[in-house]
Amino acid sequence: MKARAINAKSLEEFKSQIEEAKRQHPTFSLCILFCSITFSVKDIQYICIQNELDLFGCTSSGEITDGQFYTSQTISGLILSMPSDSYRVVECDRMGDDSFDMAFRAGKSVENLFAEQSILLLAQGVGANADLIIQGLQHAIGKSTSLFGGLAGDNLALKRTYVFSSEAIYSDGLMMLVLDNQKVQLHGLATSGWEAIGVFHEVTEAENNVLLGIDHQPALDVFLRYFGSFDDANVGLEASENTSAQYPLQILRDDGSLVLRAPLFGDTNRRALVLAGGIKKGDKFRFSISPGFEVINQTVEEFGALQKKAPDADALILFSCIGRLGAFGPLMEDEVRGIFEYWDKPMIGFFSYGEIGATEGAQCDFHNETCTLVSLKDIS
Amino acid sequence: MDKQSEKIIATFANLLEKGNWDEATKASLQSLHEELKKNLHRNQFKLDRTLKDKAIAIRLLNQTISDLQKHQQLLEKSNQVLYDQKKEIETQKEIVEEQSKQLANRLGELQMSYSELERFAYFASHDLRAPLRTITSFSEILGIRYLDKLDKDARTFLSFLNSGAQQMNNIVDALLEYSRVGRMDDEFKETNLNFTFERALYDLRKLLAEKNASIKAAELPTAMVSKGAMRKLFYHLFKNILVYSSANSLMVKLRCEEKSRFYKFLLTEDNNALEEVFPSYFFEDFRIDTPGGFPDKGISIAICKKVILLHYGIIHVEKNDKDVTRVIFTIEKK
Repeated sequence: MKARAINAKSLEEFKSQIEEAKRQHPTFSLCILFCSITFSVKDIQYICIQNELDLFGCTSSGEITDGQFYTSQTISGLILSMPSDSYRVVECDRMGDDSFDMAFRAGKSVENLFAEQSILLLAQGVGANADLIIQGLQHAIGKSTSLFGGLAGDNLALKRTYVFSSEAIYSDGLMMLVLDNQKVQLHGLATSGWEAIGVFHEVTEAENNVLLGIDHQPALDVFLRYFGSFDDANVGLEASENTSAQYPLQILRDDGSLVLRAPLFGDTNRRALVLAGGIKKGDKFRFSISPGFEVINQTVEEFGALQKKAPDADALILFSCIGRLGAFGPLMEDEVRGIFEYWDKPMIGFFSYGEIGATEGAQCDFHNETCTLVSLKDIS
Repeated sequence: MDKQSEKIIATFANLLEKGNWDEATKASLQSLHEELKKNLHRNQFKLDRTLKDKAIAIRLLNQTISDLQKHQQLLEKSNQVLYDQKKEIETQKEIVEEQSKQLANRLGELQMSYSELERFAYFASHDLRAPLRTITSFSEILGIRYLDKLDKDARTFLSFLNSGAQQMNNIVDALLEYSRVGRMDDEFKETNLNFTFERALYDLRKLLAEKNASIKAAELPTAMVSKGAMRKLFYHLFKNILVYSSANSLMVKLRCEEKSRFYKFLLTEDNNALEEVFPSYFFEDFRIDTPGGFPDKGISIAICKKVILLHYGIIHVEKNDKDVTRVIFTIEKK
């Protein structure tokens, strides 16, 4: 399978790069694409259709191409010469369903596409309950299907995100790239590195991803008490400005594993904390602070271990939490480049509002603050 | 970026701009300039974030310490409440102990009064016997020596005198026996009650024969009892049945059930003869003058009751579901 990663700062540049790639390799059939919300998705669709490329993508909050990351509104595209019978792009609009029912419906529609299959999933980053999406999907297709992906971004405006294919653009829905495992092999890993600090707290009131009460006190007040660099004046600001996403809650699962939930912003009216993922009453959690910069090396090493397990890859896709960008700043480059250099294969990615995947030894879950990597290999 | 770094970068840029460099050197210097800017930016970010993280970590730790201190305060408060409750309990305990002590003193006083009363009853009974014996003896002498000199009325009076003296003698005997319960031969020891039962029957053998009665017991326990007192109990219970039952033949049965803290004895008669002998109120109070005019019957029942009390038990009469009267008494296990 031929693969090429491109990065463009404009639609024209994107068009030019796509056309050049097609000229060189007319077999390119699929374009996986992440772009800043500032670009016209319709124009991107048009360019892809013109170049006979199936499109599978979403808007983002920063893009990654090969060993570089960009926060200055770019388009990252991975074009692949994947045989058309080895994959299927499946769209699913919400159509009034809740997240579970929507995902269940999507899962049922791909249940028997291939004898063995894995799924790359892109879902809306604002207003969806990613936990329910995973639950609904797994309820339909089972837990044995590999499932990786991320939640779309909008440069941290937290207003509207899009997922799209060649034919559809959804602000309230999900996209799946279903791969035939007998032709394309998928490996993936999610890793975090955030360290918990302090005592365990209990969620005493919550509604979906809105945390209302911690230890019987208003959640926002507790959060502000611990993370004093925020005050009432800026907690209501977007996560890019209040940097709260760098201080996720580490929720203890029943099986002992931890799931991170990044606080996006504070709701000063309800004295609540809006998280980038669901939380429920009774959950136990600890606060965490940004990890030391040594975590970058640890993360890279963990993917080094993955590279040993799956050394051959044609292309790589990276879903990195926006919270990592806030925490590591320009040093994020070391992580991105380090991972890229292990395989030295075309790689794109984006900074997401949440990641879907399995950490080492655990089942697929919805995460924040992780770096989730997927490798693709043509085995047909 | 701090001011000093900015100054260095600006100076570098100025030199690059104004210096007279050949193209190759200028390109190298420009690349170096970019690299320098990038590294300064990275280091500045690291420094800023480290400082911020440090501040947050300190705040987090302080808050955690504060939370722990609050928890500790709550614990201390709870401890104080527990301590106060403990003190209150101790005070209550002291009050209870004081009251128990007072109660024990009262009980002691009561026992002393009771003992004095018993002693008085004993000595009074004992002392009554001498004048009573004098009355009886001299009335007998009067009857023997002067009977032919007495008229009919005098003889009748003498007969009343003898009869009354005898009755009083019986009452004094009974009172003496009652006062002796718990005084003599009353040491508690392991006693085979089957033997005690047999001994009581032996004492009543004449009455048993006269009444054509049979009194049988199922296996009785060996218990820590006052042997003498239990013998009196069996004796008086059976004697009452034998004396005061109008039945021609009696089939009395005694059995014992072992409970966790006491022995329960059940006394029955095959033809329900106990109904006649022991009315339901029978063991409720002490009375010498029993209905039917049998004064020593009252004393006899009082003795039974005293023996039972001595063994921390109860005695009463009840009817079973077949309307058969039975006497039930218990003695505490020791």
